[in-house]
Amino acid sequence: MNPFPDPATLSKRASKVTLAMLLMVAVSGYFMGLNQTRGTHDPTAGVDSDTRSLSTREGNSTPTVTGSAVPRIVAYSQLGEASLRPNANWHSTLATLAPRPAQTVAPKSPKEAALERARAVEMRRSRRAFDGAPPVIPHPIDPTSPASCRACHETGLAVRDVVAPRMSHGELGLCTQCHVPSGGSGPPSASPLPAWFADNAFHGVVSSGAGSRAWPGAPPTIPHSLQLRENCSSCHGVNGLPGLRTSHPERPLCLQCHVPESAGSALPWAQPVRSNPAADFSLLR
Amino acid sequence: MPSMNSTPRPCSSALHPDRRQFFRQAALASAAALAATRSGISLPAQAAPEADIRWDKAPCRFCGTGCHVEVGVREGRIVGIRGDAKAEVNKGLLCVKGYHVGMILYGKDRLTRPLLKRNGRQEEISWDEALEVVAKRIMENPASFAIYGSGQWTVPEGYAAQKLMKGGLGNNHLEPNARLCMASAVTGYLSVYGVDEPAGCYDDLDACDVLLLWGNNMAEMHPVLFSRVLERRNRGAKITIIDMATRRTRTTEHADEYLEFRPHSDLAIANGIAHLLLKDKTYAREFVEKHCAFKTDTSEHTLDGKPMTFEDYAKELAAYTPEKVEEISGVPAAKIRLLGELFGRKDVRITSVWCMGMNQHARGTNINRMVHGIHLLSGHWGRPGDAPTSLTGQPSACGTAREVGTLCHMLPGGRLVANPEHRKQAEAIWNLPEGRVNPKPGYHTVQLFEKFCTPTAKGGDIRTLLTQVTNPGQSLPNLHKLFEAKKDLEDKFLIVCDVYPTATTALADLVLPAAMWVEKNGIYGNSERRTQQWFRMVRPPGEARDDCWMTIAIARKLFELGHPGMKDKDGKFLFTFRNEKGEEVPVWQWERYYELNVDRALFEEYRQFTRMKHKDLAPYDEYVKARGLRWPVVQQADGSWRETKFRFMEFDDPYVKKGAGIQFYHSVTKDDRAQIWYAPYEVPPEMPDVEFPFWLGTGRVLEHWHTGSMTMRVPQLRNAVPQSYVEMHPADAAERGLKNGETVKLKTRRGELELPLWISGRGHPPRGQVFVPFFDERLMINQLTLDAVCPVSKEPDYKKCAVDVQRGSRAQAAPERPSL
Repeated sequence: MNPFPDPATLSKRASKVTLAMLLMVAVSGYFMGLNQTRGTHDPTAGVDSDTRSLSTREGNSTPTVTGSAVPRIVAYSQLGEASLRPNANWHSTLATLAPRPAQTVAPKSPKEAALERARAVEMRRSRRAFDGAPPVIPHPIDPTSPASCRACHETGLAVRDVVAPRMSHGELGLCTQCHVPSGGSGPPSASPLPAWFADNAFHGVVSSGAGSRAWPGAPPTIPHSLQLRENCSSCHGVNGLPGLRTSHPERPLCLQCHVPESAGSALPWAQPVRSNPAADFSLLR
Repeated sequence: MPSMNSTPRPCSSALHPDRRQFFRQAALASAAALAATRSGISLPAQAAPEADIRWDKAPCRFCGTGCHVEVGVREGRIVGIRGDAKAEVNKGLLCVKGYHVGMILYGKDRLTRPLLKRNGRQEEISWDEALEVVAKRIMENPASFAIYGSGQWTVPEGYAAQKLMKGGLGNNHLEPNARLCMASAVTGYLSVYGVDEPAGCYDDLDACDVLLLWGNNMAEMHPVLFSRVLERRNRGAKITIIDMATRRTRTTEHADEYLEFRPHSDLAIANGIAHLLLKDKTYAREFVEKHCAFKTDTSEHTLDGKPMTFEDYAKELAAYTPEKVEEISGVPAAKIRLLGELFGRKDVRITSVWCMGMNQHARGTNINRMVHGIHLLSGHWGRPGDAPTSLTGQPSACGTAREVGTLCHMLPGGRLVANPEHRKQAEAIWNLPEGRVNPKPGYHTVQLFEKFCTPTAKGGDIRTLLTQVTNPGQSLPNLHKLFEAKKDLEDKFLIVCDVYPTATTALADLVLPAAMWVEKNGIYGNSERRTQQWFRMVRPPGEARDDCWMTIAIARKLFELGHPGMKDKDGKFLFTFRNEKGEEVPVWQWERYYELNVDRALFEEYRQFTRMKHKDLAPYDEYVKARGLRWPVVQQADGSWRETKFRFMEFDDPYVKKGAGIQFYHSVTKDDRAQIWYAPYEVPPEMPDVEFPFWLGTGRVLEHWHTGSMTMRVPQLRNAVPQSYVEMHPADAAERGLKNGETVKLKTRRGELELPLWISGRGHPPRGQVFVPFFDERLMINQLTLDAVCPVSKEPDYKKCAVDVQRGSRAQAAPERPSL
């Protein structure tokens, strides 16, 4: 080893030593600090009992701040147990917000209600061949994948007055099996339909009508089949068309009070098909 | 739940609800009416519309799935359709066509009067005149008369035509359009099991772990069945869907594996799977030794082929290594191994399904044989969920074409005209003098139209052709040659029984307006051997009449003109029916046709045939009660009738010997064995070349059914897909400078057609391929398709020919309708 190192080597060595020292100080400081918080601080100590009144109470126009104590910071490991409160500079404006409009609007006059319902029925009619037919799709679609259908219709959504109704048969995955775009699918330039396509003279049933009531005040029955209309909220929920919406969306068990008007497809000759119990393959597996 | 009077009540009113509600309700009726009038909205006229609708069952009019619908009728018109929840096939679900099936009756251009072409114009004539014209035409030359029917014929309609032609006229020129869609499936079943139609049924779809699709866009073509599988998956079942196809479709979106193969190379893939089963020794040795024998196709391509040993079979397959199969098919060798391993597994159940991809194939019989073969070889056969199953495209391709045997070589009940024993059986049931049935098979479909479109002087010995329930003017391949050539032939006479003007009626010399679907009684047989019955629910428009009545009325005219064939052995008219009192009813008089149920009478006669090949049908009245029954339907000791879900399997099929487990009791080798076939990969009859560099494939879309003559008249369906188009790979389009929506010209050796280009649309063909649906009567792609047929089944290959794609010569304009 060279006992007389040149100045360049010396300064290199000096910087190495300085670095090592700094590192030591940092490491020991970190652990000391950790130890200090663990050992000496009570997590709740920083929260003065007076600051409890910081919470807003309903009816209070401004949050009351009493005492000047500022809650102290606690270790991350103890955050879970600390009962932190807002500090003195925190102001709640919740109470100054405009009051939320009431959930249920004022009762409509029978006339208004009937008109609303008629509009809803007309809207439904314009989208389907007859009551019970799958509605057509009023917008362009992805021609291959049903994923884009699910994006909106899986849960349903409403933007202003445009409603994407929630699917009422979610277990079915082939949307375009039954629902087809009314605006057509095909290349962008496809010519408009020629006039020679004769009209269709089919006139389907437009609406199932309103349900019946056993007596005034009794819950009305369901006038239509529930087949593939299992989720009442699709049409009658808060996103349903005005005129078809329920007056009590907070009660989700519809079938508790409303029952189908008739057994639907019960026909006199509807005998179950006889099948061999041995042919039931679940038994063979 | 809301209703018109569901406005929230103040609490106080709850004390006296009666009075308040009473007034409210009283006010509502008038208020609603008033409000509606003011807003210009028409409210439903009746208070409880459901109440006066009569609902009755019927199978759907469209495809071979055989969904049941409930038809709602009010005041003689259909007002609604719903899925029949009691039907096992569809369990209440339909597709968009099914939901709108009631509307097909009400297109405003229904044919309602018989029309005869005189001086180049179709003029209205009376039914009696029309029948006279037909009968005279037949009498002139009975041997040059042919009937071209349909897989949409009801069973009694097909049976009546069968009896008129083969039993009455001794003429075998009777064919169904089903020749164009499932003949290869038939020859497949016949050469493997010795008897037609699937052993399994749709219940296999409820039990399979793997669903293997052989060129089958199930999401669009059999959506209700595909949904049945997807629904299981959505409810948590582990089902692997493998889509083997020549282009990406909606089905691919739901598949776990997508194997894209070059057209025609499915032959190599099937051989590749068999190769791996043998190489890995994962084939079902015991099953094969007990139940199978081996056969090979020969250069003559016969139905019977040639027996071969297991050793020879293995030797032939040795060449089909995964690498070799990759070279032919374009499917990576690793994916071929995946299929081989899958079939080698004993812990999964595999259901293979196919439809037109395998049937409309120049080697359709062979690919059908081979798919059955890999199921038999691997032992994936004989348990629910382990099944090779063909699907059909028409509602009664099975029931009418295959079972009634309305083909040029067949008699009902799987009997053959060439077999003297079989002819005798038919003559006995029909009470005919011996020798009435002609032993020589007639012309198959493509031949039939060739002969019809060839001048008589040049050997075109079919001169009068009657079509029922079908539209060959759009559905035949190579239309210029096989249909449109008729236009210039003066002595050829085309009689078309149909419901709407079509490309076929455009060339008709006589048009007979027909009743359709629930305007008449009917019986259909679906893809899973299920026979389904319905009753007439509404009246046909104008003078439209039942097809079955037409056949009987024509026969009666021939009888009156003195044709000897119209009498049975005892001199009685062929179609003699008696009512309950035993009195003869002249059903050939239209006003008396529904005095008795002719369908029932014909069906009971036909039933005798069905027991000859273990396809037993139950009495008519059993079908009235059921949503269809799958044959064989066998009477039990207690007198009840029991259907069969799984054929040849002891646990379900009453015709299997006790203790046999599995018995192929119609084996062609008479030893209860099924045949495992070998056939090589062969190149298709036409392939892309320098002049015609693309493959052209044709097919359907979900919204339209076949030639669109019904679905194009339903606004919802027509608006959804208003026009045909051509699908192409974006890179191919870019290379030719073609843009999305641009008009392009397709050109084959047989014709050319201009239609708009749809890039990245519903289907995604790979490079070098284009696809065109065939529903649009203004853009008939079948003017371009090839009329090459499978040598065994005589079914044309609509799925592949060579085509050139160029920029269109004119701007896109609304295509014109062919003149009527």
